[in-house]
Amino acid sequence: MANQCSTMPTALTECLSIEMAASEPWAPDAVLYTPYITEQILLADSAQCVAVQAFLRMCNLEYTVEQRANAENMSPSGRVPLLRCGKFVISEFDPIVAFVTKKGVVLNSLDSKQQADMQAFISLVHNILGNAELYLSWLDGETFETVTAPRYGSFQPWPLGGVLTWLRRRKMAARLQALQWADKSLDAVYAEVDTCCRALSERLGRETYFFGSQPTPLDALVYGHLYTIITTPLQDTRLASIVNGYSNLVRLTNHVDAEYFKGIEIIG
Amino acid sequence: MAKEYPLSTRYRAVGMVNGGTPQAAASEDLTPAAHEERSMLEQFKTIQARVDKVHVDGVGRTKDDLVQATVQPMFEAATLEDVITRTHEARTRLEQLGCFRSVGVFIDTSRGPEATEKGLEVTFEVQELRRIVGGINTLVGQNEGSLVLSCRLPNLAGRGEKLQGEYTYGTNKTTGVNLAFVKPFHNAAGTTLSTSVYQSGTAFPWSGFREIDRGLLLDLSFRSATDVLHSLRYDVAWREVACLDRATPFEVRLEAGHSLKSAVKHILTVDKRDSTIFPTEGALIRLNQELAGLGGNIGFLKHEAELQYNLPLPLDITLQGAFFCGHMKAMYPEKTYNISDRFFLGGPLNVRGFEMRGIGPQSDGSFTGADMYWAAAFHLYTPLPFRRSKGGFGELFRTHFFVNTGNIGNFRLSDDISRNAQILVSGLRLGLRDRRVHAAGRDRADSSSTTACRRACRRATGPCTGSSSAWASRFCSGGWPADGGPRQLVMIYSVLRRARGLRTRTRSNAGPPPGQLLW
Repeated sequence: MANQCSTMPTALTECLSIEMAASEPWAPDAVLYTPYITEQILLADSAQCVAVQAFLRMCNLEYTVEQRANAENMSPSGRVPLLRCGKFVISEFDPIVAFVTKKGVVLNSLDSKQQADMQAFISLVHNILGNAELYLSWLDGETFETVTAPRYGSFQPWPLGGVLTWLRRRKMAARLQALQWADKSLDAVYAEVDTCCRALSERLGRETYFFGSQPTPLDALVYGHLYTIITTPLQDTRLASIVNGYSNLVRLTNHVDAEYFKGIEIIG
Repeated sequence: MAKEYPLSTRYRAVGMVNGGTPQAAASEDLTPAAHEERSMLEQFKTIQARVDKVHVDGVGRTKDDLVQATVQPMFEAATLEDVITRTHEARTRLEQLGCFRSVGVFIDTSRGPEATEKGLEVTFEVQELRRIVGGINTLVGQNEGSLVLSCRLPNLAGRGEKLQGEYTYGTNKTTGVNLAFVKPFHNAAGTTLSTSVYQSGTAFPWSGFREIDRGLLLDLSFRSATDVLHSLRYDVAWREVACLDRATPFEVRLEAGHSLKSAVKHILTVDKRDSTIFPTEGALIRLNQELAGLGGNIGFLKHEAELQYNLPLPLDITLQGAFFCGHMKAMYPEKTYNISDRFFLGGPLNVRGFEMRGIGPQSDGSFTGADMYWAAAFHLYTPLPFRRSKGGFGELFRTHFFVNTGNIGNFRLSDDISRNAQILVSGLRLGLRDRRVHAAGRDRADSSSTTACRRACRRATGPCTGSSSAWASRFCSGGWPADGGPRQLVMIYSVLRRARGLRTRTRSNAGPPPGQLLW
């Protein structure tokens, strides 16, 4: 049985565990495992971790955060963050949202068209902002040298840290290559981010949240990315300045921060 | 080089040298031929002889000085017996150089102008090992079968050095690569230096994780007395622990990740046994000390001991007592150790009758290992019943009765010895599981203990130790490498288990699986 599980497609087992999760209430001792936020975490991972925290807070669910150097290895999908709720272990933003939704926690009653819209925007954010963050962390020479390399292997002894960083860079390069991002120039990446931000900004308009006065998972995800981009100090500040150019998006970020985190420092 | 030898001399010499040492030949019950040999030996002691010349034919890339040093002691012989004994020793040494495939010996009287009156000439006909030796083997291990491709370059630089490479591919898609260089020094202590670079992948379904090790191992082994072998090792390994699947318990998940171990180890082996596979007499003591933490992020001090004593009984029966124990502790405040360093107990190599690594602390059915263990066992090996003749195929099998027990846990010991003893046997209970239905095969004493054990079993609660007694047979075939012994035995044992898998399964359905029964 155990063997069959490991060979089954991950998506299927994930669906199964989400279905099974529906029957049980939220475990108040739920723990969210993340990499070390001040010393280790990278842009894209940080965005995911902040987004999940924002979502859980929007849902008013109790959880604690534990920082582990090996969070990435603990995760069944190999990506952070990792949520342990009762006997379930779920990783990444989308599965966690699906898991929580199955438990009957609904943030905002959306009709099917709005649902579809939200899903489309979530994919847009994942595809553009997520990949841009990965590109910047791993393929932009300057950011890699000054930020990624010292941080990624910081919890491993010499020379293992360097080896793991190198392997990770190779893996990420292959992934971005498959997504046709690897050959883009830095300017093209910034242009993509700009387009994405413009689309989000137009959708948000003058509303408090993307779909009216109540937050949705999209708000949590956008908050996660924008907060990370704005607050993370990088050598090249162009990414932050693009985001800062859209005042309503910055307003959304500040609003979520004030409403749900009340000034709690998420990133040092 | 075709040389003529007088027929009689050749017959005698070859017969003697191949027939073992004179003492051995004279000891067994005597046939008429043996009588003749014995009287001949008596004569040999009195015949004065010396070695004039030693020829070694067939030496190619092997260095001359190495061969010369090997045969040098032969020139000190004074009697014919001495010559034969020393020739035999020289032949054994030549075979052990790791340079030759076969070594033949002829002893002849010395001829020519430089010949002395009582002089002899000894000729060794050697055949060197080929430049490249390759092989394809299959192995059946505990939880997978694997294919091993190996390639060896023996006697690389003429002094018995060898370079060997091995690639293993398992049915569970685990791959292993090992590249080793071995350099023997041919001194009195038998010093050998070996270096290897390896990568190995192993799955531990009992613990819910799989591990990939990549590392460099340096090993310096030497003897400080005839049976006392020391091995000094330095091992630097990058280990990757990964969860086996989504069902991996969280306790194990917490330990997933990469680690770098850099450790020195000393292994002391005192082996006085007469055979490594089915010893009939003698003792074995093995002590391991390992200190990890010279660099890397893993730090611990580990001690392990293994004692074994074999007592020969009448009717070719051997009683074997064995004891194992181990202890480890953290050495540096900033370095820890993980699931791949801790001790596990259970399975055919230590506490037989239990699942592999199936005793000890567990989390959701996965065994997580502990810092301290001990195990003890009595084995009784007897030849198969109704054996028709000695030396037949049946000699490869033994009936095996055993009783074993052990305990593993993270015990906190103090200075109070009696209290420590209490902790170590805490929760000890005897469990008895019959691995076979052959009730007739078990002796009376064993059956009577059964009831007591089962009663004890029902009473006990909480974590405790297991003990098992069972009837099982294992077999071996000749020609296993001494070091490969235990590993191969596991292999064979698992084949036996698989062969009767159906029956085992039906039985385990009747009760809880062994790990749960005992914990």
